[in-house]
Amino acid sequence: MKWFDHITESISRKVAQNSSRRSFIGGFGTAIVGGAVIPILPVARAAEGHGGGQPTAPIDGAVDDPASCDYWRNCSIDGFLCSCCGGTSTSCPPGTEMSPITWIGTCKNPHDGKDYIISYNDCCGKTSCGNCFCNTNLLDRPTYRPHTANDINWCLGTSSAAYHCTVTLVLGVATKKA
Amino acid sequence: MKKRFIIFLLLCICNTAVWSDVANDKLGVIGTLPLPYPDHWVLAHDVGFNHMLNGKVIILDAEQQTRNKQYKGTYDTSLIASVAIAKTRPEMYVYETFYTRGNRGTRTDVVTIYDKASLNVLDEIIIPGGKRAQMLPSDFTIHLIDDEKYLLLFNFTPSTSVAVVDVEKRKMINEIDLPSCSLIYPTGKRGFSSICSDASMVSYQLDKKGQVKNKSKIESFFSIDEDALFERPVLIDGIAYFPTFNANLREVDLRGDKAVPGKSWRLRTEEEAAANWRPGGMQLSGADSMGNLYLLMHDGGAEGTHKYPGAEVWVFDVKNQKRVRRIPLIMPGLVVEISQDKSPYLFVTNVEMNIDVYDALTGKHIRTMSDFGQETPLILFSAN
Amino acid sequence: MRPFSKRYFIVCSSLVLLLISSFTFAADEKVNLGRQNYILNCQGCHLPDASGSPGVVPRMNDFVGNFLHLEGGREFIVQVPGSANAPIGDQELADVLNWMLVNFSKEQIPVDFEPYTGKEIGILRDQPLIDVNGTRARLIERMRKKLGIKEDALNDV
Repeated sequence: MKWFDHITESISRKVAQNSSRRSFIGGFGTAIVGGAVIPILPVARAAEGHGGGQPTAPIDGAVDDPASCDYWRNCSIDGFLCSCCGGTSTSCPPGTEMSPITWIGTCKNPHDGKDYIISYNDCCGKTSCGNCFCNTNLLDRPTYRPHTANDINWCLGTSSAAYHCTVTLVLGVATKKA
Repeated sequence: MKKRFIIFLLLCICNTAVWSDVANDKLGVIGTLPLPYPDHWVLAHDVGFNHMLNGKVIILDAEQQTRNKQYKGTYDTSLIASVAIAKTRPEMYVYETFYTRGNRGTRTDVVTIYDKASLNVLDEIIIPGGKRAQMLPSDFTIHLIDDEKYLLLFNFTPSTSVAVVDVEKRKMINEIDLPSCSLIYPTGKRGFSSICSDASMVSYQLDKKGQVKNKSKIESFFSIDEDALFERPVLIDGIAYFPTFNANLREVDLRGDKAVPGKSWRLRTEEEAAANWRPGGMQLSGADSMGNLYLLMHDGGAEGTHKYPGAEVWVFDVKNQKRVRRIPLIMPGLVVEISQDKSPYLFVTNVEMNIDVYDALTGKHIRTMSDFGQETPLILFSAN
Repeated sequence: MRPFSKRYFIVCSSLVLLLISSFTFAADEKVNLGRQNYILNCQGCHLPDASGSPGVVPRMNDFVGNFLHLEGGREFIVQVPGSANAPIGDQELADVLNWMLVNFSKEQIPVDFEPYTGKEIGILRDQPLIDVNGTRARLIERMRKKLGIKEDALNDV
């Protein structure tokens, strides 16, 4: 993957970059690293034959760090991590509003091998946080199937659609299909 | 004596030259842009991802060598706006959202109409309901149809609908609720199609008042899970060419009253499939004016890589279903656009958010436009 | 007459118990899968308590069962695109709709309600609904006239 070497090279040799641009690019760079090294797949899909044969995730620090794009819950997220914005991976920063309407996916926890249902609620009502941009896209699909599309601004049902950051709420363990 | 006089005369002349005043300037001179825009101009929509209230479209001349000569002008866009650029009118349309207190307060969605030459606001059309879809990328969330007489706008609440605007009357004339279908693909004489959440499509033909004259449902024709169509097709002579996640190309004929899904063909060889070359990116597809499709491609693709930057642009002659060239990029790209002249430029927003300019026919890198005040220029429009 | 056999009794009753528990287990699995499918495919918009979002997403809580009393209502629950287009098979859709009715709208279910079956779902899915809002509006009007229900569970606060 020559282009992959190229991108990591070019990112690391940059000097005096606009910090917001760096954070945006970092989101892609980290995602690439995450995607290439630590694939995280929901078991329900694997059981259907999607992505069978993928290696299991090696456990390392990033996978447990809510401020990392490789955090196990962040397998399909598009936006800023609230952990870097005064909130946590499960709570919104002060003064924002958690969107009730959201999109929901599943991610595998590499520690117990279970697939958890994750709700990617947005925190809304303020300008972009700007920190820790991530764009991972496991099982993301285009906007014509909205409930699996993370490119949509999901600040819906809130008093303001201004997007600030995203949390990752566990809703339960995904059971195998009957 | 004569010598002294000559010296004195020379001194007088020099003094006059040194001390003559800078001419006065005229107040209030504002620049305007030439029409039509030259073919190698490109309009970069910087959505301002880190401060979405302050997006802007930056107009650049890709033939110039320095930033100051490249930079032609800007106009503002608010909260991940959808932008459409007319070809037959000197107008550009921005479907955007404002709150009375910046990011909060009472919401108003408007279509702001900009003049191409002056970049002034010509008019605005209020779109009621506060339903505008905010999503990246936004190419097919807004479209002109029927000789650019009508502007279609995509709404998402999460219920979906399309607002119909009479461009000449400057008025919204209808809103069409969609049955869980999304986006706007121009179809037939005066209509559009949308893709539904079960991989089917709906098509609508409108009358002159923007009312639905007929509607059709097209059965599901692809698998969203196995080989999803990217939502960004390329439109060439009325046919939509949709790249898919697994590097196929699906044709959908949009020339008639309703969408007709057609053939699907492979974009890669067996060897390239083994290396998992796949399309990916943000605005990952484009077309020149000669029937060629341009697609950002990355290798080592897998489930979840459909937004990865591309190491190469692959160019396909769609009528003959043949790849005509591969253009390796000097830096991986997320966005492609191609100028519509006979010596086309290929514009690529790369991962550093600069715009690389290539000769689209030879693949030669010409220059990189950088440091023009941009942060996230995730959508590019060719000038014509 | 054969004397009563203890072994026979034990084997039989064990088999019966096994049968009952396997049905129960299967039923439990259906409930779990129903709940999971609700979470994955419906909850994102209709919310965990099915209360929806005023003006934007219909409320199903204490309401959706009303449709079952109306001609066309039973079909509507299946054919509304959020249901019909859900990326799950016919039987799974039947199970999640049944789960949803019992879990969120038990009071409104008619006494003679026949749970949805996969077969019925398949037939209804073959007749896609295009005019969703119009159909719902007509049903709400019928609901008002026939059942005296004033709310529409969409624009109500």
